[in-house]
Amino acid sequence: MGKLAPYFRFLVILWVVVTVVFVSLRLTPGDPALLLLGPTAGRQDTSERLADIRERYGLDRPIIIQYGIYLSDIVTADLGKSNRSERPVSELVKTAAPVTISLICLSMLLAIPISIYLGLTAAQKRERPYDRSVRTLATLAMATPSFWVGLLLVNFFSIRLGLLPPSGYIKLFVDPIGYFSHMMLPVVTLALYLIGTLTRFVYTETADTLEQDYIRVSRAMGISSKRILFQFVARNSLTPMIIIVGVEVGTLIGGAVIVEEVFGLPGLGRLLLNAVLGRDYPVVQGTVLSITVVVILLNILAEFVYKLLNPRSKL
Amino acid sequence: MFIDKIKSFLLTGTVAASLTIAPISAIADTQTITVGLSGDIDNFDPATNQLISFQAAFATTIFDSLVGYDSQLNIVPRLAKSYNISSDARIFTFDLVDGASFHDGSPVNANAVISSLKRSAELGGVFGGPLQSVEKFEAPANNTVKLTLKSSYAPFLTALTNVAIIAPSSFENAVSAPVGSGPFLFESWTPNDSIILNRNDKYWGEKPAFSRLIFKPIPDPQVAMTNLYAGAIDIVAEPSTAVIAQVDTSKAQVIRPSGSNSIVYIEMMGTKGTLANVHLRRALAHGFDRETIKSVAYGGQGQSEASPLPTSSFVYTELGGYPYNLEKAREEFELSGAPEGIEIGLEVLAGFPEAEQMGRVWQASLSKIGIKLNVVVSELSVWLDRYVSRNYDMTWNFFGVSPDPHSFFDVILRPHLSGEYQNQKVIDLVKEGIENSDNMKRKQIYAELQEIMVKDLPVMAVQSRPIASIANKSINGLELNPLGWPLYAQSSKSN
Repeated sequence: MGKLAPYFRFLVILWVVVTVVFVSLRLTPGDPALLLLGPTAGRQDTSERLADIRERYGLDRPIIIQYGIYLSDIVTADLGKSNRSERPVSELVKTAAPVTISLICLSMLLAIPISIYLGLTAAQKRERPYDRSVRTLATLAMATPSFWVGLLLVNFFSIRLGLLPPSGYIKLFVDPIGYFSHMMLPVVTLALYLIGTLTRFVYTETADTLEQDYIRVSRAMGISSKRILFQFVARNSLTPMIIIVGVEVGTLIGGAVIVEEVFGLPGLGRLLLNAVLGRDYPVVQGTVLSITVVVILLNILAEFVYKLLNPRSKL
Repeated sequence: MFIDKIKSFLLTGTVAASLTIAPISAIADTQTITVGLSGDIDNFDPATNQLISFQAAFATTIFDSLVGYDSQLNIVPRLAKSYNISSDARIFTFDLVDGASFHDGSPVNANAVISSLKRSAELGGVFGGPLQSVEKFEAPANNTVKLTLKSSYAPFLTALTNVAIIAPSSFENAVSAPVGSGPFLFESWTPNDSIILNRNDKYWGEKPAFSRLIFKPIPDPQVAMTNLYAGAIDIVAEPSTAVIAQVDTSKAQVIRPSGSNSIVYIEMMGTKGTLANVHLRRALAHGFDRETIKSVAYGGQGQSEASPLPTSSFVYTELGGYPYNLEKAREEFELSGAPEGIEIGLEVLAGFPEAEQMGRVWQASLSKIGIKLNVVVSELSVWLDRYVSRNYDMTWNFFGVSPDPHSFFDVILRPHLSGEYQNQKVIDLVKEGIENSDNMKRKQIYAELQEIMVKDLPVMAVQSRPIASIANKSINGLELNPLGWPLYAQSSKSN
């Protein structure tokens, strides 16, 4: 049972998430069938059409039956078809996922080294102007709305300088230069919040580690500050970062919704947002399920890596 | 020293980026026009997608109809090179253009057109509904379509402007793979990214001057404008009133139609029955400060009239309406017997800031006469629920009124006529207006209808919406018709 516990936990979390999404969608005002027909749905001669739509998409069935069908489809890995475009949800998710994944991965690749450097060096220069500046900027980075940052970057780099495109997405293997030029501004926008969060985390961990006795001993032994910082302190204070990064993936997905909207990236965030607004139940359910699975798996991976690096941990 | 390191890093990075990445201000692709739409399109079936944005984008690009509109909203031949209407407006005969074909290569002949029309009739809705009055669909010749209606229907030709003719082979997959006969053919749709159309080089009519038309969904208007200024898109299709007012005319041009048939209404008779008393409705009307609302919400643009029909309509009647007058408003309020401080809700759709601004101005005026107006801004699905069930006190709405006056009475007024506003005289006059093919007689009928509308106020006309598209200076020849449909096929792009 002990070995099965993580898998069981995974299934329980998944079940809770899919149930909450299912119930939330049905409780949210807004009739998907009406949305498909638009404002003329109230006319008498469209009532038959409305009934057809409801029957076609199973919206006329009792909620408990819809839930049962939904769960059995998940078990058979059938995410269904969009009520609006009739495309398989799995196809829509497969098309959108690489965009969001690359946005998040590139943001993390950018944010992590910067945060590590800033956090470590700021903690080393504690209470000096550099430290205060870094912490203030980190707070600012967390507090600044990404929508506004995105528009500012577009205004400067795309409109004024004409250096980078303001929106759109090109696949990496179709045009690598086009891919990176289109991703640059969105990645910087999304990374900003993460830089703020991780810098503050690294700073706190580093500041605590620097107070440890073995660090004092190392200094007393004449080991250089740089070596102490990047060799001894970094290893101990950065290991917990793995868990934080795993948790922050969820936050980044939320941030990706806004960034994808500003920069016209056809990722999971936009897919989900439009599906919610259009009450496209299968797409919302399928997308949330996919994101949940990925986030849970990433967190499990983070825990595994953490244990690998820190065998004495109680995780 | 640290600051120096950062500076040199940024400088090196910027120089490297500018050398390796082609500046986007390179020579423009004059063969591709990119349009920013306010939302994505996920259903390409013209018989079932009744969104205005869908019609505006695709009615004159992918699809053709038997007859269409020019930029002045005159009915012009399209797939039907000529037509004949019997004197009693019961029999409509269309001669199709020679040599027209669908994008799949099949011919646009009478049988194909009839199949498509029958399908639209079966699916009903706003566009297919009028076709349900067709008693007989006939093809007396290979290229002749004859439609015999159950009874006279004067607005039938206007109704046909909204009915796209699609290839019979595409009926099953029309939602995802539309096949029309228009100047552009559908290439692909990437959700939330782009809809790509290519020029139809076998088009029966005048071919577009450019080869590719791309639609990009950009819901946020500010994001759309930054894309336009940066050259990522060439046209913003449906800018809001606020955005139109802020356009930097050194970087872009505002393209307006000759007039606007897009009319804003306040529908006043919901199922809640709060406004069942006509005196209360008149009190609200007298408390509606048209000049201030026009100035604040619509940037001083548009025409504020009492009639529910556009001023360009051949039956338009100038009426006095209800001038802004708080004393008269108070008198009507007292006549209504409504309690002091009565709360009345106004439903407004999110994404239209001018609607909320209008509501706030009205709210301020009404508070002076003892009416508390609650402005409720809702997203589309919530607003639609309440709108369709008419579960509201009042709701804001707008509608593109076609040249035939019946479109207002059929789309906006009809739900009220079968609901809380069961005025038999209006019902009879509306029926008479449809069945009468004599324009002089129709003028009289609709003049009387307009007077009744203003007197009874089931629906109050606010004003025409200023409609426009915003385009790069490189776009030439783009026109909009007064319904707000950009006529993309006749435009071009210079370097």
